Amino acid sequence: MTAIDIATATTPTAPVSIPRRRGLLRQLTDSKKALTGLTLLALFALLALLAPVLAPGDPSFINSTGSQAPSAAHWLGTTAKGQDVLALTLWGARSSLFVGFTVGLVATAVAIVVGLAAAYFGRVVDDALTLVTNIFLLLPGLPLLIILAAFLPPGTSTVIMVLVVTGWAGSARVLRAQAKSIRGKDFVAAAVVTGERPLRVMFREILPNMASVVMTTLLGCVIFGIGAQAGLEFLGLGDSSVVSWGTNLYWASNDGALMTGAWWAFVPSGLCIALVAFALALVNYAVDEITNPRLRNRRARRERRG
Amino acid sequence: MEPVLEVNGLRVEYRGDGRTVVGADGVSFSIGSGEIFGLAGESGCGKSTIANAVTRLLKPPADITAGSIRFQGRDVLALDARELRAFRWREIAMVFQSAMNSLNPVLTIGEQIVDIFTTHERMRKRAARERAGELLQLVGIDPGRLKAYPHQLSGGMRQRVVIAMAVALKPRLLIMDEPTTALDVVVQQEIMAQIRDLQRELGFSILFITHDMSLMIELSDRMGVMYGGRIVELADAKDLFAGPLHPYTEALMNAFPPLTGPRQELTGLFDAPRTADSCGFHVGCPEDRSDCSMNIPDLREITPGRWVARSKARSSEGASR
Amino acid sequence: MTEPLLSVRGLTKDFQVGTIFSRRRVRAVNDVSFDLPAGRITALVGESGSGKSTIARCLARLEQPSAGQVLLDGQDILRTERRRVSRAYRRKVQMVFQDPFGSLNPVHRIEHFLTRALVLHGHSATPEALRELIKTVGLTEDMLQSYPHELSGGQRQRVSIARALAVEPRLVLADEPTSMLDVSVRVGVLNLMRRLRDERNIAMLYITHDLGSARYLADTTMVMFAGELVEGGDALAVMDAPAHPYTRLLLSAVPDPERAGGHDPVERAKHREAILNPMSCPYGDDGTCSRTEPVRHIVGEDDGQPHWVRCHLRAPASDIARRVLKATDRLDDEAPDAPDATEKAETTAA
Repeated sequence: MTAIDIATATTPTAPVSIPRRRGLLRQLTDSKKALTGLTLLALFALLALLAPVLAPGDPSFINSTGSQAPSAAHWLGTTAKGQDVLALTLWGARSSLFVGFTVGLVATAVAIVVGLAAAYFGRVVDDALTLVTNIFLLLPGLPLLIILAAFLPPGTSTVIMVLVVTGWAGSARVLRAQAKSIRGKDFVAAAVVTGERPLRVMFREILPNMASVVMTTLLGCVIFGIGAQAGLEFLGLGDSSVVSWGTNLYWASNDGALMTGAWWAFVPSGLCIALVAFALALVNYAVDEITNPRLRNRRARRERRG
Repeated sequence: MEPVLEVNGLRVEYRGDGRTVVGADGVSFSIGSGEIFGLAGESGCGKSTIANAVTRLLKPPADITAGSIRFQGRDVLALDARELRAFRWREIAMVFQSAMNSLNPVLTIGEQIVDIFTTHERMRKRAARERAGELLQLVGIDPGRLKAYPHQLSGGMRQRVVIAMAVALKPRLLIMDEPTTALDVVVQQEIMAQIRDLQRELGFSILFITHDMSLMIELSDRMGVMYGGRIVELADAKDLFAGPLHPYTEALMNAFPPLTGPRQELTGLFDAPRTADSCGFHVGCPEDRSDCSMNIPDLREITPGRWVARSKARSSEGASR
Repeated sequence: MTEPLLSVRGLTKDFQVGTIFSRRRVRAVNDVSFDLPAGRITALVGESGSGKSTIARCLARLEQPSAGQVLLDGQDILRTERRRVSRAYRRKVQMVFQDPFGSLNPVHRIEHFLTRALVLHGHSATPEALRELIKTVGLTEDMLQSYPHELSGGQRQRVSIARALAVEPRLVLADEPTSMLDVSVRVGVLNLMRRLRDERNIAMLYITHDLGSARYLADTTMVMFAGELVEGGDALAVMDAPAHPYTRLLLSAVPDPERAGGHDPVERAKHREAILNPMSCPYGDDGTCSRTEPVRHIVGEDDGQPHWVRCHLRAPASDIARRVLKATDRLDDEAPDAPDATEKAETTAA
């Protein structure tokens, strides 16, 4: 006769709840992928913040002979014009990361508002917002980017605005779908019957249940922001007076670094973009892993216990 | 006569996250030929676990760690993959919970039934189609519906199709796990009548699992009541209904407000989740619980054919009512 | 006789089902009228697809009826509060849902649900108030800090009841509150509901498909079939002396081990025929019976409560009836399953 060690919690037919925020964070730090990604991002953020300390002065200052290979004086060499590549890369991080994250946040915010409103109000509002979303989805992204950037005055805010305009629709679609499925659940109806107002229902009842999707959307938008910004600037449509990874690449190409074989002029910036995107993708993947496949296994295990 | 199924001391454990949970413990029962045996209990009590164990459908992290399962004398746990394939569906068939929802939506039901024959008996398509038609007639469906897709049939019809598929190869034992839970009462009655007719005609045994005691008592010859992974009472259905000996059985039966007679206040069970310290079943236990809070005793035969999981002291006092 | 708390007159609800290419209208509720007296429990019994949940959702203002009146304190709230549901209505009418696992938001603690309910209706969410509420439904104070997934099904349902109670409603709509709970736990919740009616004089509309529990809990029972009400009266009377063939069919289908000999298929076939192709009505005469109008015949009275049955001659108007009764397969031009699940997302704004 043995004591029965019976699991706590509900009967096996209960759906496993979405891990709460505390649990999600803890699981994130457990995951190696997430840790690697987050560490990398933190490193870049730190370097960006400390750029004025690590490379004081104006990075676009010409202070040396052009196209010098990496040496003790210039760790990453100099550009064709004679600027210190290391300084340019470090300072470039500031603009690139700033624009990237801003685009990510704003695009996600717009997507959340549109998605939630479409899901909550349904019918006419949903039809209208879906139409708008679809229009923005259908419009070819790159040409739109180019046209907008060409016609608007150059500057960081233009870049941000242009990227947000072209980047929000895809996320809005995903968020609307998720919000709609949550909208149909009893607990939302219960909140409505209790007397909650629409805004509260949307942001305090539906949105918290979408935490993981919002997170992955955000990360995706940031990756988009950084990549698209670099792309725009490489094409010369950004503000070329600003120091960013994209403009570094632009100038490197403009000054013929590829032809002269001066790899140190474009590799650092390119590598940084790739690394940040990689780090974000790692975190994204980790969040997905936490909320999906593991849940699937856990749920399957519980169901069989019945 | 040799019992069709004999389960002895079966123990199923779920291992995971550094922790082991016992899904079923020390479960023993036998089913005779042509007998309908019911296994009653609420969700989480282990009845589905037992059903899956008997057909060796348990997947990791679930594992059978003790006990034996003998089907017509053969050791089920010792079958290899090839024997298992021959064993399943031909000797034992299973109707799962919500099976009606697990029909393949992109195949007609005719194709799905024919599949069974062509796979297991290597029948030719035409012969298989004929058999499929006969099978549908057996469960009261017009053979013309062979061409229908699952979504074109109502819930009750789909359940009949699933049952037809289960008896297609004339198994000796049919396991049904909550076959009518998702159906309305009127349809449920039809399906139960159908099952009874089929059983009378084909003569198979049934292991019938449900939480609906009234339904089970109506249908079964013998039944067992499960709680916390163990069988707490085992007896003839009529005897059990006339006088349950275990407090849990009594509580379970009292949980169904009667359709006739004066209105009387019933007491339910204390609805706490079952934890490692308590079985969640407090209120109904009339006697002192000092040896029952976690450890459900082994079954003891009170009178021939009647088994109750009560400690020696109490069972010697006789029935509690 | 005192004025009923809530009166429903001619309630009708249609749903649009299907794709753009084959849109169809399904009538889930057809011309339903009934009264809910204050402080009494009324059971609405029916099978799935009968439209009973739709009625609850209409009364909870989660769905907009296609036609009809809902009179609360004499005022037709469907007209006075056409678009926006007033907080006053929410205070008077509350709802408990069927799924204990889905009706509590998994990201909030129990405390949150009760606090919001209190605060939204002008009560202060003091620790005493919360304690009072949680104790009333038979739970302990420490559960306030728990998350829904840490509680059992029965406990969650009690929390839902507490949430409904917090606003001090006069009517609670309980949509199959125990059907997803473990069998042994159901009675406890039913007892709680009965106690609340006795102690707080709250009226309840108890929706269920389980006849036994309706008989146990309710004062009045109404039987619903294919979107229409077919019988109503004192709960015991309706069960013990069912007047409509559908009620008789339902009762005969419930598994009852006490019933010797089991069910008689001939009897059941007779009931089915009487419902789908009625030949005669034993309660009225040629003058009062009607095939087209939903005439109600009074067949008895218990404690001032009339036991009425709808004229047998009127066959149900909906296709669902035929399908349910014959357990027949669905032909391509017949009605699909109950639309409740598909249309839930389309609801009126708060």
